[in-house]
Amino acid sequence: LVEKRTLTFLIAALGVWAVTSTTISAYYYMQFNTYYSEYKHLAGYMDILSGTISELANVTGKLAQNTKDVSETVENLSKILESISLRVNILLKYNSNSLEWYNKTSMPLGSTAFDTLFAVAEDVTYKYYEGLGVLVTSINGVTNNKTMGWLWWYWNYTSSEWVLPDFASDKYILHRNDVIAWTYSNYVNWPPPPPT
Amino acid sequence: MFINGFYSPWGFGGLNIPFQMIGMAIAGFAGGLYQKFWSWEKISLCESFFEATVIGALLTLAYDFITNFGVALSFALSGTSMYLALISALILGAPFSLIHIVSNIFVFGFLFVPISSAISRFMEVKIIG
Repeated sequence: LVEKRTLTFLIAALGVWAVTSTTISAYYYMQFNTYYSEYKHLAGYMDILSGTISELANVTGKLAQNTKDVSETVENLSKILESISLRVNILLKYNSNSLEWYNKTSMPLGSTAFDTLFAVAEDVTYKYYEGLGVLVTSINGVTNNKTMGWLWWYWNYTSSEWVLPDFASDKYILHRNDVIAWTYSNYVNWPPPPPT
Repeated sequence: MFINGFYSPWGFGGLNIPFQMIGMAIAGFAGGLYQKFWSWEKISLCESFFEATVIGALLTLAYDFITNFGVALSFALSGTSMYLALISALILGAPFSLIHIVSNIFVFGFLFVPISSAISRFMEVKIIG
Protein backbone atom coordinates (compact mmCIF):
# COMPACT_ATOMS: atom_id res chain seq x y z
CA LEU A 1 0.00 0.00 0.00
CA VAL A 2 1.13 3.51 -0.75
CA GLU A 3 1.86 5.67 2.23
CA LYS A 4 -0.55 8.56 2.89
CA ARG A 5 2.23 11.15 2.57
CA THR A 6 3.37 9.79 -0.79
CA LEU A 7 -0.23 9.69 -1.99
CA THR A 8 -0.68 13.35 -1.03
CA PHE A 9 2.36 14.33 -3.07
CA LEU A 10 1.26 12.17 -5.98
CA ILE A 11 -2.11 13.90 -6.02
CA ALA A 12 -0.42 17.29 -5.83
CA ALA A 13 1.84 16.34 -8.76
CA LEU A 14 -1.19 15.17 -10.71
CA GLY A 15 -2.93 18.47 -9.93
CA VAL A 16 0.04 20.47 -11.19
CA TRP A 17 0.15 18.37 -14.35
CA ALA A 18 -3.62 18.72 -14.89
CA VAL A 19 -3.68 22.49 -14.44
CA THR A 20 -0.55 23.05 -16.54
CA SER A 21 -1.64 20.80 -19.39
CA THR A 22 -5.12 22.35 -19.39
CA THR A 23 -3.80 25.89 -19.68
CA ILE A 24 -1.28 24.83 -22.33
CA SER A 25 -4.07 23.11 -24.27
CA ALA A 26 -6.20 26.25 -23.97
CA TYR A 27 -3.26 28.32 -25.18
CA TYR A 28 -2.72 26.12 -28.21
CA TYR A 29 -6.46 26.03 -28.89
CA MET A 30 -6.46 29.84 -28.91
CA GLN A 31 -3.40 29.90 -31.15
CA PHE A 32 -5.04 27.38 -33.46
CA ASN A 33 -8.20 29.51 -33.65
CA THR A 34 -6.19 32.64 -34.32
CA TYR A 35 -4.14 31.07 -37.11
CA TYR A 36 -7.14 29.22 -38.53
CA SER A 37 -9.08 32.46 -38.66
CA GLU A 38 -6.13 34.15 -40.38
CA TYR A 39 -5.90 31.21 -42.78
CA LYS A 40 -9.61 31.50 -43.62
CA HIS A 41 -9.20 35.23 -44.09
CA LEU A 42 -6.25 34.66 -46.39
CA ALA A 43 -8.10 31.92 -48.26
CA GLY A 44 -10.94 34.42 -48.84
CA TYR A 45 -8.48 36.89 -50.27
CA MET A 46 -6.97 34.14 -52.42
CA ASP A 47 -10.45 33.38 -53.79
CA ILE A 48 -10.99 37.05 -54.61
CA LEU A 49 -7.53 37.22 -56.19
CA SER A 50 -8.20 34.07 -58.17
CA GLY A 51 -11.48 35.56 -59.45
CA THR A 52 -9.73 38.78 -60.39
CA ILE A 53 -6.99 36.87 -62.22
CA SER A 54 -9.66 34.86 -64.06
CA GLU A 55 -11.48 38.06 -65.08
CA LEU A 56 -8.18 39.58 -66.13
CA ALA A 57 -7.44 36.51 -68.25
CA ASN A 58 -10.87 36.88 -69.91
CA VAL A 59 -10.30 40.55 -70.58
CA THR A 60 -6.81 39.78 -71.93
CA GLY A 61 -8.32 37.14 -74.21
CA LYS A 62 -10.93 39.59 -75.50
CA LEU A 63 -8.27 42.24 -75.92
CA ALA A 64 -6.12 39.81 -77.93
CA GLN A 65 -9.14 39.01 -80.12
CA ASN A 66 -9.84 42.73 -80.61
CA THR A 67 -6.19 43.35 -81.42
CA LYS A 68 -6.33 40.55 -83.97
CA ASP A 69 -9.49 42.05 -85.48
CA VAL A 70 -7.89 45.50 -85.63
CA SER A 71 -4.77 43.99 -87.16
CA GLU A 72 -6.84 42.25 -89.84
CA THR A 73 -8.73 45.48 -90.52
CA VAL A 74 -5.47 47.41 -90.83
CA GLU A 75 -4.12 44.72 -93.14
CA ASN A 76 -7.23 44.89 -95.32
CA LEU A 77 -7.08 48.66 -95.30
CA SER A 78 -3.43 48.49 -96.25
CA LYS A 79 -4.28 46.21 -99.18
CA ILE A 80 -6.98 48.63 -100.31
CA LEU A 81 -4.55 51.53 -99.99
CA GLU A 82 -1.94 49.57 -101.92
CA SER A 83 -4.50 48.98 -104.68
CA ILE A 84 -5.25 52.69 -105.02
CA SER A 85 -1.70 53.97 -104.50
CA LEU A 86 1.83 53.27 -105.57
CA ARG A 87 5.28 53.65 -104.10
CA VAL A 88 8.12 55.58 -105.69
CA ASN A 89 11.66 56.55 -104.74
CA ILE A 90 12.37 60.26 -104.95
CA LEU A 91 15.75 62.04 -105.01
CA LEU A 92 16.24 65.73 -104.25
CA LYS A 93 19.73 66.82 -105.27
CA TYR A 94 20.68 70.40 -104.36
CA ASN A 95 24.35 69.87 -105.31
CA SER A 96 26.84 67.02 -105.52
CA ASN A 97 27.18 66.96 -101.73
CA SER A 98 23.53 67.32 -100.81
CA LEU A 99 21.36 64.41 -101.87
CA GLU A 100 18.09 63.55 -100.13
CA TRP A 101 16.49 60.20 -100.86
CA TYR A 102 12.81 59.60 -100.04
CA ASN A 103 12.38 55.90 -100.68
CA LYS A 104 9.04 54.06 -100.95
CA THR A 105 7.02 57.26 -100.83
CA SER A 106 3.31 56.54 -101.23
CA MET A 107 1.52 58.44 -103.97
CA PRO A 108 -2.08 58.16 -105.19
CA LEU A 109 -2.64 56.30 -108.42
CA GLY A 110 -2.55 58.70 -111.38
CA SER A 111 -0.01 61.05 -109.74
CA THR A 112 2.56 62.74 -111.93
CA ALA A 113 6.27 63.28 -111.43
CA PHE A 114 5.45 66.88 -110.57
CA ASP A 115 3.22 65.67 -107.67
CA THR A 116 6.19 63.90 -106.06
CA LEU A 117 7.60 67.31 -105.15
CA PHE A 118 4.66 68.02 -102.88
CA ALA A 119 5.26 64.74 -101.07
CA VAL A 120 8.89 65.53 -100.19
CA ALA A 121 9.43 69.33 -100.35
CA GLU A 122 7.94 71.97 -98.08
CA ASP A 123 8.16 74.94 -100.39
CA VAL A 124 7.68 74.62 -104.15
CA THR A 125 7.10 77.37 -106.70
CA TYR A 126 6.41 76.82 -110.37
CA LYS A 127 5.10 78.37 -113.54
CA TYR A 128 2.51 76.81 -115.79
CA TYR A 129 2.88 77.24 -119.52
CA GLU A 130 -0.15 76.48 -121.60
CA GLY A 131 0.50 73.54 -123.88
CA LEU A 132 3.97 72.81 -122.41
CA GLY A 133 3.15 72.16 -118.79
CA VAL A 134 4.81 73.00 -115.48
CA LEU A 135 8.24 74.55 -114.96
CA VAL A 136 9.53 74.29 -111.40
CA THR A 137 11.21 77.52 -110.39
CA SER A 138 12.28 76.78 -106.80
CA ILE A 139 12.34 73.95 -104.27
CA ASN A 140 12.74 74.63 -100.56
CA GLY A 141 14.05 78.15 -101.23
CA VAL A 142 16.60 77.11 -103.87
CA THR A 143 15.59 79.18 -106.90
CA ASN A 144 16.42 78.98 -110.59
CA ASN A 145 18.79 81.61 -112.03
CA LYS A 146 20.57 82.35 -115.30
CA THR A 147 22.90 79.32 -115.08
CA MET A 148 21.25 76.95 -112.61
CA GLY A 149 17.81 75.44 -112.62
CA TRP A 150 15.67 72.54 -111.44
CA LEU A 151 15.48 69.56 -113.83
CA TRP A 152 13.68 66.27 -113.38
CA TRP A 153 14.78 62.75 -114.32
CA TYR A 154 13.35 59.25 -114.21
CA TRP A 155 15.16 55.94 -114.02
CA ASN A 156 14.85 53.63 -116.99
CA TYR A 157 14.89 50.08 -115.65
CA THR A 158 15.34 48.58 -119.11
CA SER A 159 18.51 50.49 -120.01
CA SER A 160 19.53 51.03 -116.39
CA GLU A 161 20.16 54.72 -116.80
CA TRP A 162 18.73 58.08 -115.88
CA VAL A 163 16.57 59.69 -118.52
CA LEU A 164 16.22 63.47 -118.85
CA PRO A 165 12.78 63.83 -120.46
CA ASP A 166 12.01 66.52 -123.02
CA PHE A 167 8.55 67.15 -121.59
CA ALA A 168 7.23 68.68 -118.37
CA SER A 169 7.00 66.69 -115.16
CA ASP A 170 3.22 67.02 -114.95
CA LYS A 171 2.93 65.11 -118.21
CA TYR A 172 4.55 61.97 -116.81
CA ILE A 173 2.14 59.57 -115.02
CA LEU A 174 3.95 57.61 -112.32
CA HIS A 175 4.24 53.82 -112.39
CA ARG A 176 4.82 51.51 -109.42
CA ASN A 177 8.46 51.58 -108.18
CA ASP A 178 9.44 54.51 -110.38
CA VAL A 179 12.54 56.45 -109.40
CA ILE A 180 12.25 60.21 -109.87
CA ALA A 181 15.11 62.67 -109.38
CA TRP A 182 14.98 66.43 -109.01
CA THR A 183 18.38 68.02 -109.59
CA TYR A 184 19.53 71.60 -109.28
CA SER A 185 21.91 71.66 -112.27
CA ASN A 186 23.94 73.96 -114.44
CA TYR A 187 22.15 73.93 -117.78
CA VAL A 188 24.62 76.14 -119.66
CA ASN A 189 26.63 73.03 -120.60
CA TRP A 190 23.99 70.74 -122.12
CA PRO A 191 23.26 67.99 -121.35
CA PRO A 192 23.77 68.25 -117.59
CA PRO A 193 25.28 65.24 -115.75
CA PRO A 194 22.84 62.58 -114.50
CA PRO A 195 21.82 62.67 -110.80
CA THR A 196 24.07 59.77 -109.71
CA MET B 1 12.63 35.08 -9.73
CA PHE B 2 15.52 35.04 -12.19
CA ILE B 3 13.41 33.36 -14.87
CA ASN B 4 10.34 35.33 -13.92
CA GLY B 5 12.16 38.63 -14.15
CA PHE B 6 13.79 38.03 -17.51
CA TYR B 7 11.36 35.83 -19.38
CA SER B 8 7.92 36.69 -18.05
CA PRO B 9 5.68 38.13 -20.78
CA TRP B 10 4.33 40.55 -18.19
CA GLY B 11 7.74 42.07 -17.44
CA PHE B 12 9.60 42.69 -14.19
CA GLY B 13 7.16 44.52 -12.03
CA GLY B 14 4.89 47.50 -12.12
CA LEU B 15 1.42 46.70 -10.89
CA ASN B 16 2.48 43.07 -10.60
CA ILE B 17 5.05 43.66 -7.83
CA PRO B 18 2.59 43.22 -4.92
CA PHE B 19 1.40 39.94 -6.42
CA GLN B 20 4.97 38.75 -6.86
CA MET B 21 5.57 39.59 -3.20
CA ILE B 22 2.50 37.59 -2.18
CA GLY B 23 3.65 34.67 -4.35
CA MET B 24 7.13 34.70 -2.83
CA ALA B 25 5.70 35.01 0.69
CA ILE B 26 3.56 31.94 0.09
CA ALA B 27 6.59 30.07 -1.20
CA GLY B 28 8.58 31.06 1.90
CA PHE B 29 5.71 30.14 4.21
CA ALA B 30 5.27 26.77 2.47
CA GLY B 31 9.01 26.11 2.77
CA GLY B 32 8.89 26.84 6.49
CA LEU B 33 5.86 24.62 6.91
CA TYR B 34 7.46 21.77 4.98
CA GLN B 35 10.57 22.01 7.11
CA LYS B 36 8.48 20.87 10.10
CA PHE B 37 7.38 17.71 8.28
CA TRP B 38 10.71 16.88 6.65
CA SER B 39 13.68 15.10 8.18
CA TRP B 40 16.30 12.60 7.00
CA GLU B 41 14.99 10.05 9.46
CA LYS B 42 11.41 10.10 8.11
CA ILE B 43 11.93 9.84 4.37
CA SER B 44 14.48 8.44 1.97
CA LEU B 45 16.65 10.42 -0.48
CA CYS B 46 14.48 9.36 -3.39
CA GLU B 47 11.31 10.47 -1.58
CA SER B 48 12.96 13.78 -0.71
CA PHE B 49 13.77 14.31 -4.36
CA PHE B 50 10.18 13.50 -5.39
CA GLU B 51 8.58 15.70 -2.72
CA ALA B 52 10.88 18.60 -3.50
CA THR B 53 9.98 18.49 -7.20
CA VAL B 54 6.23 18.33 -6.42
CA ILE B 55 6.45 21.19 -3.96
CA GLY B 56 8.53 23.19 -6.41
CA ALA B 57 6.02 22.62 -9.18
CA LEU B 58 3.02 23.34 -6.95
CA LEU B 59 4.49 26.56 -5.55
CA THR B 60 5.52 27.73 -9.01
CA LEU B 61 1.99 27.06 -10.26
CA ALA B 62 0.57 29.00 -7.32
CA TYR B 63 3.05 31.83 -7.88
CA ASP B 64 2.17 32.03 -11.59
CA PHE B 65 -1.53 31.97 -10.81
CA ILE B 66 -1.16 34.86 -8.35
CA THR B 67 0.98 36.96 -10.73
CA ASN B 68 -1.38 36.18 -13.60
CA PHE B 69 -4.20 37.34 -11.37
CA GLY B 70 -2.29 40.61 -10.95
CA VAL B 71 -2.01 40.92 -14.72
CA ALA B 72 -5.73 40.14 -15.05
CA LEU B 73 -6.41 42.94 -12.61
CA SER B 74 -4.49 45.38 -14.82
CA PHE B 75 -6.52 44.12 -17.82
CA ALA B 76 -9.70 44.65 -15.82
CA LEU B 77 -8.63 48.17 -14.88
CA SER B 78 -8.37 48.97 -18.60
CA GLY B 79 -12.01 47.96 -19.13
CA THR B 80 -12.05 44.19 -19.72
CA SER B 81 -14.39 42.08 -17.61
CA MET B 82 -12.56 40.41 -14.69
CA TYR B 83 -13.59 36.89 -15.74
CA LEU B 84 -12.38 37.36 -19.33
CA ALA B 85 -9.24 39.13 -18.13
CA LEU B 86 -8.36 36.26 -15.76
CA ILE B 87 -8.96 33.58 -18.40
CA SER B 88 -6.92 35.57 -20.97
CA ALA B 89 -4.04 36.15 -18.55
CA LEU B 90 -3.91 32.49 -17.53
CA ILE B 91 -4.04 31.23 -21.11
CA LEU B 92 -1.61 33.78 -22.54
CA GLY B 93 0.82 33.12 -19.67
CA ALA B 94 0.64 29.32 -20.15
CA PRO B 95 3.82 28.85 -22.25
CA PHE B 96 5.83 30.87 -19.76
CA SER B 97 4.29 28.96 -16.84
CA LEU B 98 5.33 25.69 -18.44
CA ILE B 99 8.94 26.86 -18.74
CA HIS B 100 8.81 28.24 -15.19
CA ILE B 101 7.44 25.03 -13.69
CA VAL B 102 9.79 22.72 -15.59
CA SER B 103 12.83 24.79 -14.64
CA ASN B 104 11.75 24.88 -10.98
CA ILE B 105 11.18 21.11 -10.97
CA PHE B 106 14.84 20.71 -11.92
CA VAL B 107 16.03 23.40 -9.51
CA PHE B 108 14.04 22.01 -6.55
CA GLY B 109 14.73 18.39 -7.47
CA PHE B 110 18.48 18.73 -7.78
CA LEU B 111 19.27 21.49 -5.27
CA PHE B 112 16.84 20.89 -2.41
CA VAL B 113 18.60 17.85 -0.93
CA PRO B 114 22.23 19.13 -1.12
CA ILE B 115 21.29 22.59 0.16
CA SER B 116 19.17 21.17 2.98
CA SER B 117 21.96 18.84 4.10
CA ALA B 118 24.51 21.68 3.92
CA ILE B 119 22.26 23.93 6.02
CA SER B 120 21.69 21.07 8.51
CA ARG B 121 25.46 20.59 8.92
CA PHE B 122 25.95 24.34 9.30
CA MET B 123 23.26 24.44 11.98
CA GLU B 124 24.86 21.50 13.81
CA VAL B 125 28.24 23.24 13.78
CA LYS B 126 26.63 26.41 15.06
CA ILE B 127 24.83 24.57 17.87
CA ILE B 128 27.97 22.66 18.92
CA GLY B 129 29.89 25.88 18.75
